[in-house]
Parts: sequence; structure tokens; C-alpha cells
Amino acid sequence: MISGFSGKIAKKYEGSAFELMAEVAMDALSMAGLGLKDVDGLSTTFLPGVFDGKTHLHFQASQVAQYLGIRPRYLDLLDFGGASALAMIPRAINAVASGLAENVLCILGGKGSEVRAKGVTVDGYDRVDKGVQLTPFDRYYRGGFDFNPVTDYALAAQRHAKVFGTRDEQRAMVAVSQRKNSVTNPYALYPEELTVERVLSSPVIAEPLHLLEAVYPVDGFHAFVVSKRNRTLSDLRVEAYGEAHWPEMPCELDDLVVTPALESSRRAGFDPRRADCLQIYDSFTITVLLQIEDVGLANKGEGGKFVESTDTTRWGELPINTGGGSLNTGQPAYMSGGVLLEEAVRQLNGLAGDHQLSAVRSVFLNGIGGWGRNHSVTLVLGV
Amino acid sequence: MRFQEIQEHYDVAFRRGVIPFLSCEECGKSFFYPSTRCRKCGSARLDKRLSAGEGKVFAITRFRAKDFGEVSYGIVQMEEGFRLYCNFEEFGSNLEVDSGVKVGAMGETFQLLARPRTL
Repeated sequence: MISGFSGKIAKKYEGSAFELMAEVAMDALSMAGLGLKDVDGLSTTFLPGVFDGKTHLHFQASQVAQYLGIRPRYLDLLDFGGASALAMIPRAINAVASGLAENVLCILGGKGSEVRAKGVTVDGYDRVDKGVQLTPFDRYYRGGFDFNPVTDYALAAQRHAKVFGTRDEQRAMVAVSQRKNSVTNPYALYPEELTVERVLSSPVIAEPLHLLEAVYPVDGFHAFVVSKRNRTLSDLRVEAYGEAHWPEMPCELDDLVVTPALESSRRAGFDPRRADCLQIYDSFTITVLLQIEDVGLANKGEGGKFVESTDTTRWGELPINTGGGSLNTGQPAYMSGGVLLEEAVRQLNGLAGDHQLSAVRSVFLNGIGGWGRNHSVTLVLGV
Repeated sequence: MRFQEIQEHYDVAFRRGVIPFLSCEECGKSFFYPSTRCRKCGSARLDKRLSAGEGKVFAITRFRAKDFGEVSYGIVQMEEGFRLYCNFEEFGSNLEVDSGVKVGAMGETFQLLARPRTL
């Protein structure tokens, strides 16, 4: 199982993405008591621009292996955006269990600052590189002004408000609770506490979403080593797992207010209330609200009431995003999955420092990723 | 039907300012974003159609864009049963979910523009 891990995040890393990647990989291997010569499996992911501003790395997984000096017998490249990190773990476990590898290095991240500097997001990279195609029908789709994660989630939030009466204050509660969780997290970007009023007085980035309801793209990598033998960490097990991939444009879904988490969590078949804490993908406040409903914590449309009536801080009855989530650490390379997974592994190993919960035996994670919420991975880790 | 044939249908429609769409002759599914196969049943028996342009706002957002100023953008549910992303431009401030709109195509870049039905 997971024998070592590491994560490093900076608002702007002064160096190459490869350099930071190698540093994080070495730290994770060091925790596992391993060296690069022991790594015979590699799993990674990629988004345009996050490796030093390059749109594309030719044979990405090979370049990562080349830089690290690994010659793997198991090699995997996942393409689920923010959901990739969670999907790497069961695949790596299966690879180890079936004898395809003994030690799989799962590594993801990059430099969000390089993309940010171009004035786009990874989902709008066609604006700066005409060789990038977002859909098979960009010519007709791109007649519209702009579709990016902010406007996409804004439309979902607006639709949620219209259909279910969800109020801005309810979404803001998500940001407020997560900030409470983050104040003792050394990786958090923002030290001061938040109020609902402060969230709602921050600038509107796309109606109805405010600036303090959105992640900030940063630089960073996360690495997790999955090994046959584990010398340092608690032996974790996958208690439940499910994934779902909905390739439709959001406008072609039955409604914008559902995510593939509905399906991935059903596949996992694990009641999230049984977990000691939850790590829920938090690119925006509305993302958390949608998943609260889709994983079964609240009926569809009642996520707003749920966050008002349930204490989701780490002192409460149902702790969600116990380290503050990526709303507070920043989102490395436009993918929050590594942040969620690191926090889960820390909690399960008693390594969460000042924000450690007591007696954590299982953690429910849900990751969302892709262009327009296409991918969802539900993973329950237990000890 | 070849993709190029669909593309020609779309291009001709857009030049006339009309919204094209495809309708599956097997299952009746209508869709805007082109494909040579029905996304519901996989059939290649697709009918190239033109929309009457009538629809309702399904979702709408407004934001400031660096190079464009105030932008209003969202999704329209067309009466023929499909949805598509549209700009609302200066009309956005007068629209909300379920407002009736008329959708047309503008210019060589196939800008899709929805305006209130009453205008």
C-alpha cells in the first residue's frame, strides 16, 4: 500500500517543473525507505501548460521517467484532471498485487503560475495555442464567448440557486468552514478566519460565484509511493472504490446540477457517514455542494441546507476537508486531487499535526476532474 | 452521412443566421454539437435540420472579461429539444432562467447570440 508520500506547494516556484517534481518524488521515496533504483512502476498525468508553459510534452510519461532516471516495467498516464490522483492509487495497488511492479511512484502536479501568466486556464489553452482542440466541434462551440471552469461552475451554481433556491450565503458557508479547518495547517495560504459576509463581499468572478469561493491556481507536486512492502506508514486498504466518466458537454446533461459523483459513489457503495472524515473536491464552493448531494449526504437540492445545519469543521459531526482543502492551500497545476489524497493519508497515519482528528480509521474521498466535470472518482481508504 | 456534409449544412445555416441541428431518425434525439452518429443510440441515420430559433434561458452568468468588458453567457434550451451555449451580450441583464429568447448566428466566427423574444 502507500509506503511514502510528499507534497510541495508554492504560489510561484522559481525553477523548472521537472526540478520540483524530482524533489517531491525523492522526498516520498525517502519516507518509504526507497531509492529511485527501487521504482519499477510510474503513474503520472498532464495538463497543458503546467510543465514550464509547454502545451504538450512528447510522450509525457517517458519524459518524467527519463528525468528521474527510472526504467519502469509498469507505466501509466491518466487523463482525468483533478480526479487523476485518486484513480492512480487503486491502479497502482492492482499493479503491485498482480506482480506487474513492486514500487509504483504516482506523481502529479506542475506550475499553475505558468498558465496563469498567459491569462488563461488549462481549459482555455486553445486561446494561446491554436494547435489545441477542446472538442471535436470547437468551430461551432467556440462561437460562444467563453467556457472555462469559472463560467461552467457559475452556470451550475446559478442553476442550483434557481431550481432549488440555494442561497449565496449557503455556498459561502463551505468556504467559511474550510477556512476554520485550515488555520493550523502549515500549508495553507491564508491565515485569517473568514465570515460569510467577507466571502460575499469579495468580487464576483462570474455570477453568482465570488472570488473567495474559488481555488487559486498555484505551483506544486504530490507524490505517493505504492509498494509491496511498507516499512514506515500504516497499512492502508481500499475499502471502497468507484469511478464514472461522463463525456457530455455540461449543457447536454439532463441538468447542470448533477455530477458523475452520483454514479462513482453508487459504484463504491459506501455510506460516507461511516467515514471519520471526508475529503471532497473543492475547486469551487458549488463543487463541494454538488458532491455533498451526489455522494448521498443530502438529497438533491438540499446541499445548501445541509451545510447550514451540519458542522463540517474538524470539530464537527461530519468533518469535510480537514486541512482546509485546496480552497486554502491553492490548487497545484489546476488539479486538487493531490491535496485531498495527501490530507487523507496524513489523517490515517496520525501525521496531520495541529489539525489531526482523533482515531481516524477511514476517509471518504471524492475527486472531480476533466473539462466540464467529466470525471469522478470515489475512494475510501481505511486503516 | 460524412462529417463534411454535416459541416456544410452547418456553415450554410450559419451564413443565413439560422441555427442548424441534427435529429436522429431512429430514436428522435436532437442535438446541436455535430457528430456522424447519434449520441443516444449510435445510429448514422441523422436528419439535418434548421431550428426555428425559439428557446428559453436554461442557465446564465455575467462576468467581466479583460478584453471584452461585461460578458453575459449561458445555455439555451431550444424548442426542438437540444441545448447549446450562447452569448447574451447586452441583453443579459434583462434575462433570467426561463426567459424566452430568439437565437441566431452571427458573423464568420459562428457567434451564437440569444436575445429576448420580445425584441
